[in-house]
Amino acid sequence: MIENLSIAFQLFATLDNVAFLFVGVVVGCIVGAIPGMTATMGVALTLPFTFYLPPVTGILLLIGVYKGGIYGGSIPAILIKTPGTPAAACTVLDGFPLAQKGQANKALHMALYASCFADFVSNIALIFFSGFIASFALKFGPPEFFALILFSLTIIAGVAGDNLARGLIAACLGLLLATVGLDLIYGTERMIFGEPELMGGVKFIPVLIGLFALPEIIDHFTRKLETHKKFAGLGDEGVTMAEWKRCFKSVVRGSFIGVIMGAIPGIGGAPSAFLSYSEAKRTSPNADNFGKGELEGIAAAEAGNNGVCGATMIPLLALGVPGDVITAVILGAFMIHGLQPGPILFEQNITIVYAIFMGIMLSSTYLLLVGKVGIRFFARISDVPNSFLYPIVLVLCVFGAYAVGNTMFDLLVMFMMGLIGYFMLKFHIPAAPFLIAFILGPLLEDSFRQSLQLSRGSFDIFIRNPICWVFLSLAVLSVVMIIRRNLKLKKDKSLAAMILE
Amino acid sequence: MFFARFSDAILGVVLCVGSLVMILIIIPISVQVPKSNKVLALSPDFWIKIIVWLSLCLGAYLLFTGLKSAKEQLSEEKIVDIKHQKMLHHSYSRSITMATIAVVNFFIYFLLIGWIGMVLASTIAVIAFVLMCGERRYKIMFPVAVILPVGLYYFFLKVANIPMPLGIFS
Repeated sequence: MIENLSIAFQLFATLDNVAFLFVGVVVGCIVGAIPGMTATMGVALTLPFTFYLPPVTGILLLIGVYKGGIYGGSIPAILIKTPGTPAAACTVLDGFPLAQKGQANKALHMALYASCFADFVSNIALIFFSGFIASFALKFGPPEFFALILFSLTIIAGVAGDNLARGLIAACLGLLLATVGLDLIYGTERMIFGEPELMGGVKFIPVLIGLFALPEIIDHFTRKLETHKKFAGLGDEGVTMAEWKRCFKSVVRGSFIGVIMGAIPGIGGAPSAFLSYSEAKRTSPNADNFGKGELEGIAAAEAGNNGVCGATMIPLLALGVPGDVITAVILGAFMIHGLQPGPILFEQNITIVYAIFMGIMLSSTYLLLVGKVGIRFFARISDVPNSFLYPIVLVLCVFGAYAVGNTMFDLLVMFMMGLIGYFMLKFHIPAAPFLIAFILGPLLEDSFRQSLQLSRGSFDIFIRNPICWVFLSLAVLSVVMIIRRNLKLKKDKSLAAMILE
Repeated sequence: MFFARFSDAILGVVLCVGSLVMILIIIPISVQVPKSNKVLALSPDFWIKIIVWLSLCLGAYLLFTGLKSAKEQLSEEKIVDIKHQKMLHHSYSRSITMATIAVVNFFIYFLLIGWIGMVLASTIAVIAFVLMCGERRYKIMFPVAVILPVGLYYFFLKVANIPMPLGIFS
């Protein structure tokens, strides 16, 4: 253990790792601060820049962008009522009214402190729980992994939007695209249509960039020119110790809510922020002030959405299952660097895992430092006009997609995926289940067929083991719950329509 | 609006037709199944067929529910606001036109990369797209259009050792 830690420290404590992590946090804050740019898009656009980096450095750069991006989303939410990331939507409720009162600086500082605290708690949870879960997962064979991935897919497809059918359609499309290439067992061709570039399957990065960045760019061109939102000013007031103490309870509670919700695949930051906010409102003596510029509301929302950051990495590192779409991208980055997250990573590359943990802990400090020093600069970033932003993003996409394999074919794939992604956007088909299914598809099929090879074609293998039973039951349960939730939503909508009439 | 009202049904039809095309044409043609395989579930096309059948079921479900809700909407629409409909139609046509222009520009950009290389094509693309967005601040536009592609080109070439295509200039 001590020896591994010592090797891991040597692996981590290089100028490159420390510097790239810092750069990642700065880039993430900038991306998050730009309205219309999501943390997912930031991680996706940074990914091609990690190719030439060692695995630990590359992964830390992406983690920095992730964490910075989630915090950065609160800046435009507070200043111009436009959340930089979906997770920051809840911060708008109290952040913007406070900014209108000329206390934007106070709101931004509270968002920063709450984010850093929650991020730290989440990182501790990651370090404590991932090793424990991974050691349990070492007992898993192909049937158990099949059941686990199936469960993850059902929950992710279900919570990706308010329509289960559309989430499942997206997951099916992703699974289908993942089957392109040579067959895993027989090595025969599957839907490659004589194109040698497709033999190894469709590459992850062009799909990722095409799906998440290009549809937003196309959609931007279709909108009428928007008047650019300007913020009034930051003000000089900071957060006092008394105010921090008053909000501390909500920050701690929000951090734990974030950790719990982040550890469950598919939930993500936004629901966690809203739950943390509603709990703070329910228990606060200033409940009446919530929604009108209450500092505690900002603290609760930001603690809730940043508390998920480290926790979403628990299922990723311990089981190889991404907790949300950003960790799905990070899973892809691990694979690109020749690493497969999951129990095997803990068994064979524990020093890399420890080095990543060290970097993750440092990222919380960086977030505080970068946020504190750069608040005024990041606030200016919200002013970047979209007419320059989207063409710049397009060029970054093109360079990034080409760098994957030095072929024009990857660019073509990216543009095609952009077109498909735009149609998905217009038909309200969520992109997240598509991407997660695309990444997990080969693992799901592989474990399914390996299991059947072991059992010589008998499906009994999936119900022989109690672990399989647990995951398959959870999968069925999650589908039933999602269907029930959807039916209730429809009922509520029709009831509301009747009342309106 | 026709599209808004029938979007579920349209998506359902697209999925059903796509799934049927996959089952009847694409899978038999493009998925090679070795004759030595005796276990159906281990066949290379088994997994694909499961996904496609699931898509077909989802498509049929969407078609059914989409038609049902469209019918309900039609019966509920008692007052037709022609002015509002015209406005919606105008904004819808505009967004289709702009989306088509954007997609065409993407493919022109792709073709230009092969011909004149990444740097010059990207410079032209930035200018074209910025102008398309209605931006007219040339003092910012031109430096951005030149510095960004050149900077990225040298980053990938010198730092990442990835040469970008230069087209006819190589």
